[in-house]
Amino acid sequence: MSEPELRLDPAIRIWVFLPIVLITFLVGIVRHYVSVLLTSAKSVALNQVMDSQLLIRSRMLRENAKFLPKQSFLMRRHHMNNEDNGILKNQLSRTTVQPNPMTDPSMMTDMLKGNLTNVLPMIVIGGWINWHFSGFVTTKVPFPLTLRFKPMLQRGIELMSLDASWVSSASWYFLNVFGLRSIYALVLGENNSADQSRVMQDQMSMQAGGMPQDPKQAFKAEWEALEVTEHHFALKNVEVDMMAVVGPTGDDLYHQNQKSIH
Amino acid sequence: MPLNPRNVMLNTKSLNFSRTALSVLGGGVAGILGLTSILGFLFYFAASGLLGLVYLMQSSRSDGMFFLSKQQLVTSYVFENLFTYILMWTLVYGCVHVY
Repeated sequence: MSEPELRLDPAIRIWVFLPIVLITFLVGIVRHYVSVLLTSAKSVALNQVMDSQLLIRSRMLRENAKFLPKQSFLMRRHHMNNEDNGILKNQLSRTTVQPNPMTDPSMMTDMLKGNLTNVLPMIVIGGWINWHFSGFVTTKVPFPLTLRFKPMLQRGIELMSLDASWVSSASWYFLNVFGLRSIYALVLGENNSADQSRVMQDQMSMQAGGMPQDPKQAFKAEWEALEVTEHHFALKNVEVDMMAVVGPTGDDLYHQNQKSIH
Repeated sequence: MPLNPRNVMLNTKSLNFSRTALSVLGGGVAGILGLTSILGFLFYFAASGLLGLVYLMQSSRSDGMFFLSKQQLVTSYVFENLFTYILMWTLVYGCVHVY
């Protein structure tokens, strides 16, 4: 292995390189626990639970229909789907009111808390790292990079002659922010809120994905699926099959008129 | 045979978990060994291919289905965890070989 063309002071490793990793990691952990403290438990409305349970029930019926006798299946489907008062059919004609997030005060405070735990540390810690550890060459990525990566990896150092694979301290922080996200999943479990890069994506898709979709669509799809389900009874002749395997054979079947010799 | 979506989700989650652990460990190993450029990437893909192979053997031994597809066992989450690998690789390589 060839020696790198630059020798760095080992003090940079102890006082800049490793502290940035440590700070990024610990800030992520603190963010996770602060947001756990701040978030209010989401209360689910009763009719939402009823809706989802109804959908699950109908799906279970569809998937396991083959274990039911034909009449039982038809009975259950009639209960779900009949034209007059089937319970899925009733849901189709129900009118729903979409809650407006701007008028609901609890949603507003949730958004505010989210911003407090997400955006604020990103600005404060990022700014502090930029200011406190500015201008160090911290490390070298172990693979060659083209000149295009220079502004990305060498933020804060403007040296034309430096090879593109050297990383400045500010960029090392950003590499950590994006690279540690799956390590948070390892340490804190899935769906943690330590991850800063996910927050940016959330804010992008806030307008599009924030609303719960219309339950009527799901009911309609489920109603259709149940309506076209064909019933094939999986347990047809099962008793005959079973007796063929474990039942008495001609030898050990007891007959009145047969003398038992053994 | 219908799959229980909840169990499939849990399985996928633990698959991701093991892949992340692999990329952290693999990054450390590659950094200590001082692998550079293409060798390091080859090392990562070889290691994750090996893990996929082990999973494939394990799942073929049991007759139940635990994932949506066999292909998912080998290929999923490889590129999601590449960045973690690069970070750990750079970190350990920097600590050992640069200073």
